[in-house]
Amino acid sequence: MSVSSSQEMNLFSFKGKTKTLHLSWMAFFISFVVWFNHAPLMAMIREDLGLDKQQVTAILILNVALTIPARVIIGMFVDRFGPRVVFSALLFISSFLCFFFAMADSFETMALARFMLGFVGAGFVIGIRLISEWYPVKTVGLAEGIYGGWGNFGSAAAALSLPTVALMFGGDDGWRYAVASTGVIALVYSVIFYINIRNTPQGATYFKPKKPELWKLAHRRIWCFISL
Amino acid sequence: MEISTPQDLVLYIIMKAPLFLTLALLTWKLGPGNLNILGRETCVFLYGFLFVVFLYQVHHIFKVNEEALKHGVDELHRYKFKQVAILNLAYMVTFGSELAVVSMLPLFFMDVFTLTAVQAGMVASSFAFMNLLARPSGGYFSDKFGRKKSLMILLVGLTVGYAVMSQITADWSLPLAVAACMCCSFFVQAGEGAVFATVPLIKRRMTGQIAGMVGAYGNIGGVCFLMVFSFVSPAIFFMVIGGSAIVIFLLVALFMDEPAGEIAEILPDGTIEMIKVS
Repeated sequence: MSVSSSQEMNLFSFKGKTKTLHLSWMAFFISFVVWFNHAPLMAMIREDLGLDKQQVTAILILNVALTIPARVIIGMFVDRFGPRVVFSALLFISSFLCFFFAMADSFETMALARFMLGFVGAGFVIGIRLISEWYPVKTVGLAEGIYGGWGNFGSAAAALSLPTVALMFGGDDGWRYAVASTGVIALVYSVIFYINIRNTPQGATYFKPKKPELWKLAHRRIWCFISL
Repeated sequence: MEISTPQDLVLYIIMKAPLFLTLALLTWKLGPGNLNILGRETCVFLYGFLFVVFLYQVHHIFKVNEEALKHGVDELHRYKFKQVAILNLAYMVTFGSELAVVSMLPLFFMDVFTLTAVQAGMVASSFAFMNLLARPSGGYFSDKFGRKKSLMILLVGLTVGYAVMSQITADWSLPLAVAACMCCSFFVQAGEGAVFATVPLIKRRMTGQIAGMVGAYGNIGGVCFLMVFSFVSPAIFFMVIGGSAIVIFLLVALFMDEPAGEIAEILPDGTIEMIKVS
């Protein structure tokens, strides 16, 4: 916090906190593209796999179910491990879930893939902490607003672009390529994010919760397994 | 999550429950008699599983806060959980209603104004474009004019916005209805911006956990409002959201504190760093 003395917001820079803001909203944007990459393609998917109305509704519900606990869990991970690793990991893993969804051949596989992709909807939480590390109190509201608002647009961007992408690839499998292409973007961006992001400005400390929460237990479990 | 006082611990546990209730609601929706995707046994297992996890969480909360409950927390290191609770609810009615409205809006416009799917989709996407401007505005107002005041004003706007939307009928001109919808979406999304303008100013080292809980409440709101929508007409649906917003406005007005002073965090060498929040 102490590093940034200037209080004004210059969005046309790509250094320091502004670089962090831009890279963060793009990460969130991509996570929302992935989270909603099925929505505009649902008509094609329904036809291709011969899903009925109830199955379509179920897939839409499954997509948001895991997001609720995932946001809480990701929140704990962020405080413990820092946004840089957690956001990169989330995008990295989500890309493979995208490929899994893109290859789904039955309702069951698709439902499972969509349920797991609900996790990606938790990406939002990660940048909130990251932005708060970089922006001082006088501009933190605006910075978080830009992060949230521009990132949130990812779902609309998916809706506007993916049907066209699917048609460009064409055929029954068009939707599969469209979904997979969002996975490729997430995969590439996870590396870009990891290389370019710092959890805090130079010289600042990243404060962690005093008591380890779930992972303390997880550690113990792992050691139990190993000692067995 | 760490808490500072026994009262906060009770409030925290109360605020945890809706996370599990919402998941149970989703299980019910997928279960027999509704979507029939999950069998009876699976559903019973999931209800039991959710209940056990909830109990485990309560146990865990006590364990994490054992020290704090026994010896208390220094005044300097305390934070108020009521701030988190209020922001949870405020995000539930802002982001939650956005999630629900976005998914019903295209069909609503198609039915009321007999539009084609493409036209209705364009109307609905105006809601999404508003995000680019509205959410940063909410954060900007909060920075400039105070966080509590901004959130209160935006919640009033949201209530009026949904009240107006509940009056939309086929007698309205389409541009007027779209304008009403966009005004409403401005207040909804600016409200989201105002919520997350306060989240980072409660306790620095727990900002991720606080953001996670507030974010989860947004999703809870989406699920709950859509559930309401499946039982009532669109007009009533908009009024239910508006009504919830009035209640939450009152809670904000009565209980929320404007972030003030500094947050204390301990550096690895044991010295204390103060982080300004006002």
